[in-house]
Amino acid sequence: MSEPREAEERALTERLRALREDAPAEGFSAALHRRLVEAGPPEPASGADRLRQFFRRRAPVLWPALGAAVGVAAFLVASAVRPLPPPSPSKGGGAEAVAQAAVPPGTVVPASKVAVIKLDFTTDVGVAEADFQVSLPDGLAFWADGQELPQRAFTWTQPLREGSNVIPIAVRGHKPGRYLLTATAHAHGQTIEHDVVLEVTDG
Amino acid sequence: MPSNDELRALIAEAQDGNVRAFELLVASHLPRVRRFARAFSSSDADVDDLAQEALVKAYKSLRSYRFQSAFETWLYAVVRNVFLDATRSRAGRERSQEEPLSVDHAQVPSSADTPDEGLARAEERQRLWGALRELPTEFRTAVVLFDVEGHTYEEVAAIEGVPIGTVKSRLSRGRALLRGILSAEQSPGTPSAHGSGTSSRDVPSHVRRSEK
Repeated sequence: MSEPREAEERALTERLRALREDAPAEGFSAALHRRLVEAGPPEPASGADRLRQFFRRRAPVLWPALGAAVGVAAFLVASAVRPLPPPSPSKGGGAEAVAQAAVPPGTVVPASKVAVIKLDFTTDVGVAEADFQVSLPDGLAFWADGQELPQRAFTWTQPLREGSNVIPIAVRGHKPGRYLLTATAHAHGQTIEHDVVLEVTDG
Repeated sequence: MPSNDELRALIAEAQDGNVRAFELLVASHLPRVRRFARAFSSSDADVDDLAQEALVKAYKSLRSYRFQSAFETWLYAVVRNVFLDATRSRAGRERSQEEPLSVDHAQVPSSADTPDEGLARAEERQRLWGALRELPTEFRTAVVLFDVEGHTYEEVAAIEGVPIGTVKSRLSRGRALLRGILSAEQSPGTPSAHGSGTSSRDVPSHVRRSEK
């Protein structure tokens, strides 16, 4: 850019910057308040948004409750209410068997109850934005605000703190069986995967 | 400015329909939103109405905010869309009808000015806003957000949903057009553009084609 052109550009940007010194608006806030009240509350979010908001808002309350719930579940499992059968080495040729063998013992819940599964993503460093995805197999459904949601998978973005990041997911099983639920967190080219086995029983 | 936790709490409150929480959220943005609106409403009397319309729209859409970007970026993206819609719509065309310089805008902007200085400054502002309104909307948005409001390239790119290179190109072309419009106004025998709305006068054909 030539020197006169640069000077012109500078002069123009200075003139534009001076527009920031605007006179305050009298009565603007009051008028805005009236219109906001008249407009009514924000429009309802989609089903996916409702689930995200549910987790976001209830998380501080859910985490301690989940700690207790997990403790109870662990006790029940330890009491051999119905321990998960170990994967059979003789059937170990299939991918499904390998995947299930890699996951820790899961949660047992009757079909009449909603299971709140605690996903714990642990990282060495905090991440401002991580992309999450949770997918359900057939036979399980997400649950929010007292109703089943039609979505089979959810994706959302949230920060990850250094250390433990617990994310509760509420699901319900339609029929007895053992289900593998998969959750992933993706940030800066790295993926953390989380598999949870949920056993749904009669009752 | 509220802390990050306070901001999230305010957003959650506002999403639940708390008007006061929303007002706190946008309080620091009101002057900028009004100025932004000024670039899209050629009638000075209509600036506040358009700015309020955009803020009400942001409030009504607040549950669609998913914390995937900075709240400010989301807010300006919503506000920008309302302004663009208004410009395109019949209401926007009605707003672009010529109106005389309004009394409040012609008033002396600073008590430190003498009456002559105040008038000169008011005229300068009116001239600049008039010229800005003649720019194609995408150039206008980039110039107002970057040059007037001081957003960064990254912020403007996020608000407009375009790459940074596009923002730089729009700024460069927008400034060049603006210089042309302003110098044409100053040339003898050229009609004044005060309050002249969103016409494409003096805009080259290749630029007019790029208008949405």
